[in-house]
Amino acid sequence: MDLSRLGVAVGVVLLAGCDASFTVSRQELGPFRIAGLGVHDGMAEAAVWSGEGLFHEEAPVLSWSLDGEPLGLGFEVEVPGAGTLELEATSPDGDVRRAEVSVADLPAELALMRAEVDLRQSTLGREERVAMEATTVDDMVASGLAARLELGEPEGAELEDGLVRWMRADGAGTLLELDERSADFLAEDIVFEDGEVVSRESLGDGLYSLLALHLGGEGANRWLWIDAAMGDEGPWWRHEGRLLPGEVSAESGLIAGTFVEAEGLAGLVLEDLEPVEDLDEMEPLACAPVDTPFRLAWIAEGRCPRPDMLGTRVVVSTW
Amino acid sequence: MVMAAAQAATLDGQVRERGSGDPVDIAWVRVADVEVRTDREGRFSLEVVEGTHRVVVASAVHAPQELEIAVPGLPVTVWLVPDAAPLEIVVEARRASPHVSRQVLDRERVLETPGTHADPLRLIQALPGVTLTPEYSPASGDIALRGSAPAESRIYVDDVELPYLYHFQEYASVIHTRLLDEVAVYPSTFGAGYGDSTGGVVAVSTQRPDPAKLHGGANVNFIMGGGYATAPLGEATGAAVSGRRSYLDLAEDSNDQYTLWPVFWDYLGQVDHEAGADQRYRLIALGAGDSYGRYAGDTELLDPLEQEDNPAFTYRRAFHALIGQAHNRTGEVDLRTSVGAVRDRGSGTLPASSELRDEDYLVLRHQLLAWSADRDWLSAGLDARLSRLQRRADPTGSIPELTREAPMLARGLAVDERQVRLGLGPWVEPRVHLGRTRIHLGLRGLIDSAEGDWALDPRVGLQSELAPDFRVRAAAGRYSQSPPTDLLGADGLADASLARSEQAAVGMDLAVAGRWELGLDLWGKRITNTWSRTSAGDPVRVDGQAVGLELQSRYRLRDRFFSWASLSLGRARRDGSVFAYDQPVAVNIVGSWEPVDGWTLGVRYRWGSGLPYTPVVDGLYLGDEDRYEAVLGEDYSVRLPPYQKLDLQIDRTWTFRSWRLGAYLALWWVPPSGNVLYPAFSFDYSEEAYVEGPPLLPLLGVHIDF
Repeated sequence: MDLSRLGVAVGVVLLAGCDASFTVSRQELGPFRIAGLGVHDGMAEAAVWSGEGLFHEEAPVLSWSLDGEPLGLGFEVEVPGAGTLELEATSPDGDVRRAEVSVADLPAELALMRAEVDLRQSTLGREERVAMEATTVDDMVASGLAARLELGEPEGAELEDGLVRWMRADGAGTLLELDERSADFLAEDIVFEDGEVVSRESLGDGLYSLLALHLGGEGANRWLWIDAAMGDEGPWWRHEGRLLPGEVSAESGLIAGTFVEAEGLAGLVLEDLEPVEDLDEMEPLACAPVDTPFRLAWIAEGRCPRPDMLGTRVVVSTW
Repeated sequence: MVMAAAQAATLDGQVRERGSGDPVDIAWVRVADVEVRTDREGRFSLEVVEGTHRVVVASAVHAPQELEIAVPGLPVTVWLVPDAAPLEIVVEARRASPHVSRQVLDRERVLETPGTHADPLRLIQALPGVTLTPEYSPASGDIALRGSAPAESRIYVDDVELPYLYHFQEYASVIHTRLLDEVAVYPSTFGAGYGDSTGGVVAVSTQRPDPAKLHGGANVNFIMGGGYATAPLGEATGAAVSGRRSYLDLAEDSNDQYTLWPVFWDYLGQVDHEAGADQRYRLIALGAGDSYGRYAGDTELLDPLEQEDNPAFTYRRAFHALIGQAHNRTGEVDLRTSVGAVRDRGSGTLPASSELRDEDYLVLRHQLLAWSADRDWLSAGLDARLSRLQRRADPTGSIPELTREAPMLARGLAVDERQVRLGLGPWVEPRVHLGRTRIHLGLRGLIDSAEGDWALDPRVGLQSELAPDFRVRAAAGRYSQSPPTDLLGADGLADASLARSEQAAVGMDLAVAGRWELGLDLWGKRITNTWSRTSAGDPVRVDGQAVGLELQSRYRLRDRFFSWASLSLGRARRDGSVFAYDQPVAVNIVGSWEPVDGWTLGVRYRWGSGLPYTPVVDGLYLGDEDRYEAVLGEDYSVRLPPYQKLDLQIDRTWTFRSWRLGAYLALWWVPPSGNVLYPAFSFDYSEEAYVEGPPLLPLLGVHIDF
C-alpha cells in the first residue's frame, strides 16, 4: 500500500470531501439555456440555445421586463432605457430559464479572425501556445491542426475591453483559451491532470460549432455563433461566424438561397445559392423583418423555428 | 544450598486495584530475584523459603507496592493504586451535580471506542441530545445540543472558553487526548454555575500530572504525530507537556486545489502544585494553529484562463491561552479561581485584499462552595469576560466561495473597527436536602456592556432517589445569552439585546444488577431573540422551540466488555421553519470487548436523520458577470439522506514492565449513499449532486506509553 498517497487521500477528505460530477459544464451549451443576453440597437436580444442544435423546432416563449416592469413577449421587444433587463425563457417542453443583465445598448456586430496552428507536439500550456506562430485561414483548418479563433470589431480592430467566453455547441472537441479574446479549438478529446496532458484522442475531421460570448462589462454583451471546419475542405462560404457549404462568392456581400433540411447541428442548409445585389428575392417572413438581410442567428436563437424556414428563400450577407 | 537447608513454602495471593477492586492481570510480584506475573484473575504463586520476605508488586499503570509478608501464611491480597483516577463507565449520570441533564466521557474508554481516533471530543456527538453529523462534512465539528445552534452553547477547557475546539472546525480536537481527564456535557437545563448560553455547555478538564512518576508517550497515524510527557518536579509539583502536528504537507506541499497543504498543530504545557492538602495551583499554556492555502474559486468550474487568474487564498488561524487556577479549602469552604488570557488571531489573504480578525480576552471565574454538616451546600461565584475584537477587511469584491474562512471578504464588506466589551455573570445556587431529594435553587445574572442589557435568570433542579437503584430528575429555568461581538459591528445586528430561553427537562435513571443502567430524558425549550444569518450572510433575529426524548443504555461487565447505546428523538424549529440542526432520530451503539489480554475489539454504529438544508430551486443567469445565482426554495425544507456509519477497531497492546506499545487498526464503512457530506450544484444550478465521504477508510496508528 502506498501510504503517502493514502495519506493525501485522507487529507483531501479532511477539507474537500469527494467531488460531485455533473452532466453540464460551462464550456458546453448543453440543454435548453439562455447563453447570453443584452440590448442591441434598442432591442432586447438573447442567445437562447435549444439544446438540440443551431435551430429550434418551436420558438421559445420569451418574457421580458425592465426593473420588474413587463416589457413584452417575443423577439421584437424594445428596451426604453437604462435598468436591469430581465428575461424568462420557456422552452416548448416547459423548461423555464431566467436571466438578467444591465442595459448597455450597443451594436451587435463582432468579427471573427481564423487561423490554424500545429499543436500536435505541444504540451498545450498557454505560454507555449502563445509563442507558437499561427497561419491565417479563410475557413478550413488543415486536418490535425488546431483552429485559432479570435474575436474582434467588424473593421478588424481588436476588442478593447472585456473577455470572451467560449462554449461548444455539442460538447465535442477541446477549447483552450489563449487570452481574453482568443482561443484554440482542437478536434480532440484531451484529458488533463494537474495541468498536464494525460491523453489525446482525435475526433476526426468535420464541422464543429461554438458560441463566443463577449462580456464588455456592465451588460455590454455580444455574441457570435461560430463554425470551425476541421480538416473539412468544404467548399465553404462565410456568414458572420458561420461556415456554410457551397461554392459562391458575391462582391455585393449578399447571397440568396433556399433553406432545406440538413443533418447535424445546423439542421438547415441553404441551397440554390446565387449572388444578388439587393433583398428582392427575400420571401415574406412571419418571424423576422425582410428589409434587412436574414441572419442565421435568428434560427439558432429560436426567433425563426426550423419548420417555418424550410423551403423559404432568403438573402443573407456574407463576410 | 539455602533452599535445601531451609523449609520451602508457597506464597499465594491476588493483586487487585484499589478503588475498582478489579484484579490486576498484568502485574509482577518479586521476592529477591524471583519474579512471577499475575494471571487473568490477578493471582500469583511463588516458591520461597519460610520466613518474612520483602515483596515488591508493580504494574505499568499502578503505583508499585512494597510490603513485608510472612510465609507460610494465608493467601494475601495486594492492593495497587492506579496511576490515574479510577476509570469508570463511559457515560455516567449518577454523580451529584447541579446540572440535572449531564453526560460524562472519560478518557480511557474513549481510547477503546472505534471511530474516535483516540479523541474523546469526537465522541461528544455520540451522546444523546447532540446532533449527529457526518464525519468530515462542513458540520462535523458542530456541537449542536438539544435543538440549539452550536454558537448558542459554550465550550470550556479548565473553565476558560477556547476560540475553537477542532482543527479546521471538523478534524481532531486541539488538546492531546492523553492529557484530557474528563469531558462533561450539559445539553440543557444546566445549573446556575454556567451562563451566557441559551444552548448547552461542554466542560473539558485536563488531567492532573502525576507528581510521583515520569510518564510519556508518542503516537502517530496517517495524518499526524505527537507526543506527551508528565513528570514530577519535586514532591508536590508535577508537569505535563504535549505537542502534535500534521505532517502530510511534508510529502506534498500543494496540488491543483491547495496552494499550501493544510497544516495544523497544537501544544499544551501544564504545571500543578500542591501547597498542602487544601491548596492546589495549576498553570496551563495551550495553543493551536491551522493554516492552508487554496484557490479562491472552484477550479472545477473555471475555464483554463480563469484558473490562471484564480487568486490564491491563504487561511491562517492560531490561538494561545494562558490559564491559572487556584483551589483553596478552608474548613467547609472551597474557593476556586480561574483566570485566563486568550489571544486569537485569524486572517484570510488574497493577493489584493485581506481580512484580519484579532481577538484578545481575559476571563475570570471565581467560585465559592460552602458545605454544611448535613451535606447541604451553597455555591456562588462570578464570571467576568473582558474582550477586545479588532476586524479589518479591504475587499475588492465579493467572493462567496470564502464564506466559511473569510466572511468579510466573501461578502465584499469593507470593515475597520475595534470593539471592547465587558460581560459579567454572578450566580448563587444553594442546595438543600428534603429526605432523599436534593434541590438546587439557582439565580444567574448576566450583564453585558455592549448595550447595557441585563438578565436575572432563576433555575431549579431536583434529583430524588426513590429507590437505591432508581432516581428521577427534573429541572427548569431561564437562560440568557449576549450576541457574539462579530455580529455587533457596522454590518451586524441592529441592537445587542440578549437572547432568552426557557427550558425544562425531566429524567430517570435505573440500575439493574449493578451493571446495566437505563436512562430516559424528556426535554423542551423555547428560545427568543436569538440570531442567525440569512443565505446572503446578513445577521437576523429569530425565535424557535424544540422538544425531544432520549433513551440510553449502559452495560459493563468488569473490564472485559462494555456497551452503550442511545436513541434520541427530537424536533426543532426556528421562525416557523425547520431548524438547521433538527434531527428527528439519532441512534448510537458502541461495544468494546477484550477477549484476551492485550487485544480489544470495538464496534460503533451510528444512524441519524439527514440534516435539513435549503434547496436551490433555480439558477438565475447574471448576464453582466456570466455567472449564475442560486434561487433558493423554502428554508430547510429538504433533508440530506440519513447518515449511517460503522466503525470497527482492533487494538493490540503489548505491556512491558515499565512501558506499553500499542497499535490499532480502525476501519470505517459507510453503506452506499449513507455518507453524504453536503449538496453540490452544477455551475448553473440545474443539477444537484451529493458530495460523499469515502465509503471505506482504514486508519493505522501506533502509540507508546510509559
